Amino acid sequence: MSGKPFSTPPYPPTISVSDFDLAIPEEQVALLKHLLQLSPIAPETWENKQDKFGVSREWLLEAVEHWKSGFDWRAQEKEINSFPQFLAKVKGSEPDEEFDVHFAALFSERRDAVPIVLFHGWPGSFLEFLPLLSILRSKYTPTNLPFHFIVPSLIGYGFSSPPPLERSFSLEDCASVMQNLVEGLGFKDGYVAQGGDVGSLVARLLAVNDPNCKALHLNFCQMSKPDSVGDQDVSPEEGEALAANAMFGQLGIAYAMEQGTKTSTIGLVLQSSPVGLLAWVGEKFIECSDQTPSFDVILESVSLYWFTRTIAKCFYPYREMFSGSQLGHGNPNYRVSKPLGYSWFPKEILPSPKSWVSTTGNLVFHRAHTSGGHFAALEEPALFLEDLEAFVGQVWK
Amino acid sequence: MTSTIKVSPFKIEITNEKLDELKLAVKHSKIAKQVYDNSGNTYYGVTRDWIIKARDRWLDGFDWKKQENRINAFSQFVASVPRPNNKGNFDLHFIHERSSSPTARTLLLLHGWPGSYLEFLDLIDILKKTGEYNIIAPSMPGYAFSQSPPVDEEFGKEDVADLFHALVTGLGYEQYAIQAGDWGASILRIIAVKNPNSVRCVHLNFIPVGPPDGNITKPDLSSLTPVEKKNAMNSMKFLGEGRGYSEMHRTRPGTLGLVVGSSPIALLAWIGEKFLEWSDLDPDVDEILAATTLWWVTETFESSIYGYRDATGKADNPAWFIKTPTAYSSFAKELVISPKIWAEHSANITWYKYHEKGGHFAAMEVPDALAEDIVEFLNQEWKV
Repeated sequence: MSGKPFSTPPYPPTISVSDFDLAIPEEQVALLKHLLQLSPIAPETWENKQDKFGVSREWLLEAVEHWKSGFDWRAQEKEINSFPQFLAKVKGSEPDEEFDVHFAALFSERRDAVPIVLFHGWPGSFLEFLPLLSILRSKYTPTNLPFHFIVPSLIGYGFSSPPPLERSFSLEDCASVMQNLVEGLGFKDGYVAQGGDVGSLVARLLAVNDPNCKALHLNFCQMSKPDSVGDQDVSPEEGEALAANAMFGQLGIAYAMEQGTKTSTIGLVLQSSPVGLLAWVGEKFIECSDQTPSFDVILESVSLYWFTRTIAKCFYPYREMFSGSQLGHGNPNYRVSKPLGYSWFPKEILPSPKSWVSTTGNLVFHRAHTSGGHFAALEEPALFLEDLEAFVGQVWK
Repeated sequence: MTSTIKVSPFKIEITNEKLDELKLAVKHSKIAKQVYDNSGNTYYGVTRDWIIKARDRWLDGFDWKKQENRINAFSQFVASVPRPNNKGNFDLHFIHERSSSPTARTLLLLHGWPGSYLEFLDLIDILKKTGEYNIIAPSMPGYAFSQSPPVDEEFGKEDVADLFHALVTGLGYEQYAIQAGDWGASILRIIAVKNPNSVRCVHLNFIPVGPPDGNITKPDLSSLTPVEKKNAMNSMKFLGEGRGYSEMHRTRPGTLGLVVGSSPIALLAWIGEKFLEWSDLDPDVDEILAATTLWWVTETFESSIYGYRDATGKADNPAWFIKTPTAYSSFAKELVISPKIWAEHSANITWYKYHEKGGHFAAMEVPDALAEDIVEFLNQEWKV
């Protein structure tokens, strides 16, 4: 037991769960700085002088400079470690498969606390939810926190195990692991699943497949317009966001195509240099957020991917996407009959209107916001938390 | 025949310092851990094993100087070529092998991406021996030792086409033929359409067109031979699954150039994948390393992909139909293989041959076969 506040699991786990702290070896931190000194930066071109062809060279130079001298990994690490974290040994869906699953958590001492499990996406991580956890632990004490918040790292991300070497791993496999995690933590009276980006599919799978999952909250529900929905069934704001969505579909999805069809190549490309990784991932933080996060926030994320060497391990959801998988929010086979909540943020890159999302399940809760984008929990933690508290308050009996 | 443009002889001389820098950058590059995706199913791109083997060879065994000597055996030049509309001059690097025969025919060879003029060396050797051709093989703007596109204005395929026409005519040739594949084929198309009096005939090994009725989702394959049907299916597979790279080039060249420019291993993976996947038989790893070394030391990856967002000269655009007599050499392992009856809607095809062997880099892979095709076609359309 780590002794940190909110760190006592409420039930004796039936799986092995140990305390976890980030502790990147000093030599790795030094090596990263060394590589940043040595990494070449491509010369100026017409394309990299603009903002419309991805990150600009100017941005990259500034970010690398900050990474070299302004960014303090140890300070970030200390801040991250102020949150309770754990490493659990969890079985997968195949016999003999066992995974390390890393998660951050705030556990309550209340008997009636509602477990909420939140799933990040790509290029996200559990770090996205720390601002939200920060608000919670200021607002509540362990004795009155009305929830348990559990934030796992997906398989292939952060400090969780990579997917197996010998077979193609799917999001359904990942969801099975997460289902076993929650069960192993002893939450037998149900939990709420929450997700955005790739995590939204994991959360939906739990809502569909796990009887113990009682409700689903999404801030991302990418799908095509259902036939049953008219073009007029959108608010002006939703319509505006859809127009931006169309642009993204034309110009913004090459990364997904590459990740999904040339998974090996791009993994090798991006693992070869921290600067390349920063450009590829940084672009997403800039393009998909309402307000661009600070260098520190972006670099913290990229550092996590770099130190854990996970960029080549995390693309299986994209491979699945491009191999004819039927998994999707719009597929009736994945319709959710349990209570479904949806938070809509205007700068989400793939912003499905309420009328679309309501065809995918028992939509009982919907909030539309005037700020916030794809990384909603990271960008608007207070609004996000408000929505979650209201949703759970409404649906949890 | 006199040159009206300023031409200086050129030899490649990559300094040892630059080569050492490259080696150091390779050593500092990290190799991703083994995962399911990189373990051997090359469908997902280059494998980890291949990258490690190629990297090890690059550090120990690959001899750039040997490659350099081979390349320098060809007559290379840099010319200062005037751009139209008083846009100033532009330096173009090229091989120029002039025949001593007064009746020699001039042939312009255009490479594509991730190609270079190196692809043509064997072909040039074969054609040189006949003594019947003046051969010009330029480096595209932004490739190898040609000047890069300007950093403060858009630069596209028509700019390239105009430059190449000005190069050939500036060297004193009034008429010429052109051979091209990959996006060199778009440049060829623009030159031929814009300069019908100068271009005698053209040879293409790449004519990527869909069915004449425009229905690419459910093409009418009924009038195709079994081989043509199979090739059409493979082409659609490529269009469905093989375009991640070109979409990145088209939409995010800023990011991609910075990513690939950050490590020679990143560059090797990105372009090595194409050499392996797009060829019939895998090229020798030294050939891939020579190309990658040239890309790296000239820092030209990021300046090589401007053509992807420019739709000028597309094969299926009627505005760019080639009226000039056209040869179509179709190779079985090409990425997008249009049957002759579809390609006829894109060019005035007067000569056609289908090859069972050879892929996207025809000149590099099967130079003898390609040379034979060119010679036969030129003898047909450009009688001396």
